[in-house]
Amino acid sequence: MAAAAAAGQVDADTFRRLYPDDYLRKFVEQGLRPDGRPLAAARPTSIGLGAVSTTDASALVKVGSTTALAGVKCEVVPALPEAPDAGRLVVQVEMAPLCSATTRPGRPSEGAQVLTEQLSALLGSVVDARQLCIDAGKVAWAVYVDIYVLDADGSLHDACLLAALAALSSLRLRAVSIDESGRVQTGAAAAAAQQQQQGERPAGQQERRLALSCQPVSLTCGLYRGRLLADPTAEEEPLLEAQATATLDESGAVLGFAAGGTAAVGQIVVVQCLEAAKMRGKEVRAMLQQALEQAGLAADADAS
Amino acid sequence: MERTDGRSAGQIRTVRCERGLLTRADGSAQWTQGGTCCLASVTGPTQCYASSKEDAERATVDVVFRPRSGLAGALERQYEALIRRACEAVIVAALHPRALIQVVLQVVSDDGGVLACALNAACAALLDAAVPLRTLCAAVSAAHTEDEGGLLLDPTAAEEAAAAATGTFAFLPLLAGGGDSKGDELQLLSSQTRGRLTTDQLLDMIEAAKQGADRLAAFMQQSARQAAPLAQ
Repeated sequence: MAAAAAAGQVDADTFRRLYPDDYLRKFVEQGLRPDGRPLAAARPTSIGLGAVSTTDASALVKVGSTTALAGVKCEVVPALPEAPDAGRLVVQVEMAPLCSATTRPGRPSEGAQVLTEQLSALLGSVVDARQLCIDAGKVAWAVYVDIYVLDADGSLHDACLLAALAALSSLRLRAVSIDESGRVQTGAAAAAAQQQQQGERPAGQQERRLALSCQPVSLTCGLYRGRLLADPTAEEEPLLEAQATATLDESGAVLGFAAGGTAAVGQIVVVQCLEAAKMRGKEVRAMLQQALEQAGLAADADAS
Repeated sequence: MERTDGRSAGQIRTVRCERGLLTRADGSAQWTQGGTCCLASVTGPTQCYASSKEDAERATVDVVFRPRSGLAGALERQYEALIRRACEAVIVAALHPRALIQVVLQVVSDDGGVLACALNAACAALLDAAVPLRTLCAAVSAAHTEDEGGLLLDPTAAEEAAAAATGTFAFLPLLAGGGDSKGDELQLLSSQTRGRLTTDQLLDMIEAAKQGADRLAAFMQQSARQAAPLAQ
């Protein structure tokens, strides 16, 4: 470390920029983080449903300053011959150039593609594609989940997954009707057409919710000098020795465990990550339930 | 319990490692595990192709993963990211500041566990290129099947498709005669799972994979000694 720094000739902000590792170490040794959190605490989280009026469902999620916006758009498409009784769920994560200094416009970055792949696999197991079938072998729903990272301040997987989950939880598939000539109508027109057709062959479907098999919530933890930091920020992420993202559902089952870093981790760290993710899941699911109730979209409200 | 190909649950398919197949690369290796085969080439330390990739303090590691057919997509990018981080962990990158070490992986045939096979091929190719390494890394895939109630190591494509959950785990394995590894420690370097597992099932899977990785690393070490007898 430079003599100037030791002599206290630089202010805290300069020190933070010049010696990011020393800066973080001094905090972590005191059991704190630069933003004032304890080591095991995640940042304050908010879920805003229906942020984009032109989509079928949307959610804006903030975890600290990490911001993810998920929009869901549904389209009626011809059923694929290889899967006549199933629809499609297409997940795409995009990192806009404004989300961080290192993100460039143009081709999707590696980070965005890795997130796309992780979330597609995860959400594919949460949404049973067979419920997206409208008329077997003819038409089905294609549900496009687009997730935009607006501010990439670390732990993107957690924010993106929560945004996608919140949007899908609030999604209502519009009513669909198919008339004799095979013309497909959706929304209010479909509901009206179904009224007229009553007594005839029932074609199409009522407005309905999308059933999710579980509510996966993830937590990213980082290993820094033998200590576990929950929900690391973009400032902390490059300094971590290893990072692990555990995704668990409400029953405590593990839906994904992605770890990587420049140092190997022991079994204790794996167990601690899973435990922390389980606790965080409970917290986040309560938050999501509250947001859905406020928007009048909770599953219980629907049943009554 | 016996598997369709006659293996026991914890048995890895026959492993073969051929080195120095490519004459124009600084190092190359072809890693075969049963029906899965990956060819890896290593170029470097060499000049960085883009100044934006240069790191003034250490070598940049670049990984390219080519599927058996077609264009590389999001899945391949995910593999590249995982393999790159694992390679960065074993390469002593500080020895070659501003340089580039490029690892190119080509899938030759895929019968399950292609990510693990590619990572092992990359490590063998780095050895062949004589890039200074801290230790070796070895990866093993595993599958958890509900109906057979078992944990299968190194599953074939058919076993993967039938499994409730699959995972690939890379370790810094326990090496004969030193290395960084601390014996009984788990030393998990990277992991990736798909499907639903209980916490205990995941931990069992990681533990079983670790034992497999130790065996693979012993093989990798032995094959390196045979290829370069003077290095002993």
